[in-house]
Amino acid sequence: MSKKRMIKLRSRIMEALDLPEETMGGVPKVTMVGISHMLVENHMGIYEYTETGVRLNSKCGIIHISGRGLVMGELNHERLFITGCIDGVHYE
Amino acid sequence: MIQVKGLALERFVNRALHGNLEIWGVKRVSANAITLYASIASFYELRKLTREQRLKVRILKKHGLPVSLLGLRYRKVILFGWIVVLALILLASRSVWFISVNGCDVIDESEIMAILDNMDVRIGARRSGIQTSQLGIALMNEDSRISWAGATLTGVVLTIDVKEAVLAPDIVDDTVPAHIYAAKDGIVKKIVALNGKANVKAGDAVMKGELLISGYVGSNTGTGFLVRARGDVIAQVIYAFSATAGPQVLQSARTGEFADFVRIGAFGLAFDSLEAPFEQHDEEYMSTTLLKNCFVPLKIEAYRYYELKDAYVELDTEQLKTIALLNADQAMRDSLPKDAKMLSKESKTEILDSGAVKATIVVTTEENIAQTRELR
Repeated sequence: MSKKRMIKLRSRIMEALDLPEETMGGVPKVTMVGISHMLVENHMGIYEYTETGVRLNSKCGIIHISGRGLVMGELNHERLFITGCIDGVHYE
Repeated sequence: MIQVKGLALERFVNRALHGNLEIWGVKRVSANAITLYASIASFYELRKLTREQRLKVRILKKHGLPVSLLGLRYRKVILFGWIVVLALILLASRSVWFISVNGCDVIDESEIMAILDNMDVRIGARRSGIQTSQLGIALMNEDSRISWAGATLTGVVLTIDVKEAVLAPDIVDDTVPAHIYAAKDGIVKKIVALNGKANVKAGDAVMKGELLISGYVGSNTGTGFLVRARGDVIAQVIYAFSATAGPQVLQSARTGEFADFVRIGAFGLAFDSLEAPFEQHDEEYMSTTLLKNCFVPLKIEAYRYYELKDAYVELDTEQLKTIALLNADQAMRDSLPKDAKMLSKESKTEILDSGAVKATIVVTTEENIAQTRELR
């Protein structure tokens, strides 16, 4: 079975069991508090970090967080807490 | 806080994260440099990564307990001082340094302290030797005026809570007949006869010893019986208090002899360099010096003791008036009953032929003048 089909099947099972999708391992979870704090869980590493944004690898693609003065306050291989002036977040 | 310079800094951060290294506060400062915080253990691991990736690493700032302790390596006296201070704090915390007594109204706090002292509970006593559960019981057994006592030991503070016993009122034998007489001269404002027959009415002027409420209840024909008269008789009572002052008044005055001394203060405590060499003295403040560069912040104050001796001095009329009025006022405070309600107060002074001043205070009060006298 291909990887794509495997993910789809997992997603369907979670839906059928009425379980939240984030309990399925690897799905990124982005929590934003106001415009200055953001928590990204289940990321797969930093792809790019510049003065105007952070791009993170994830199972769902690259998460692009744009902003100014972004500081990675707390970070480990699963969680990343970003502070600063966050302008937006989108998947690439 | 360290600065890492070079290319592919994201790769460096990712490798650090996968290596479970403690880093935080990563901030991009320029196109090829980041700053971050790392623990001491992680820093040495990061050095390996930077060497592999050919990055330049520089320590910008060091802080934390290990760094502070490292600085003490060459300052052994301070280290020793800290150890001594900590040891003293530990030693001092094993004793009771404050005793507070709550709930004392009739009983004097010093009496409670004296009882505690007899039980070897005093300032400086060992905390481990104090059994708070037994302390309350012992206090209750020692003083019958205490209905309940409890002790709590919080740190170095021993708190004693006391509930005083309310004394039972005197039992009055209602079977013994009695009349109520006037205890003082006055004008009756209100009379309430709870038992017996009122002999006067509001507005009557009564003399001391006059019958106010009779204990004889009966008809005019002579048939009747005796009861114990009960009631209140509120009357206006006038008091006059006099006091004389002068012409000469005994006062403490400086003889001209003096002695200088210094008072050394630190941490709220003060020590005098000299005990007062005079039987009676007063002290006058001269100057203060603060020793700021000393290890202990010392405050040195210069004072002067002046010898005082009692002597008769001549005072002017105004001063004599003030003294006479104060004495008359004190006499009034000592004599007036506590439950008396003061309606008016007038004071006047007159100069006597001898030069002395006489002050008179006239007070009008409203009070209960009923006095029960039993018929035996």
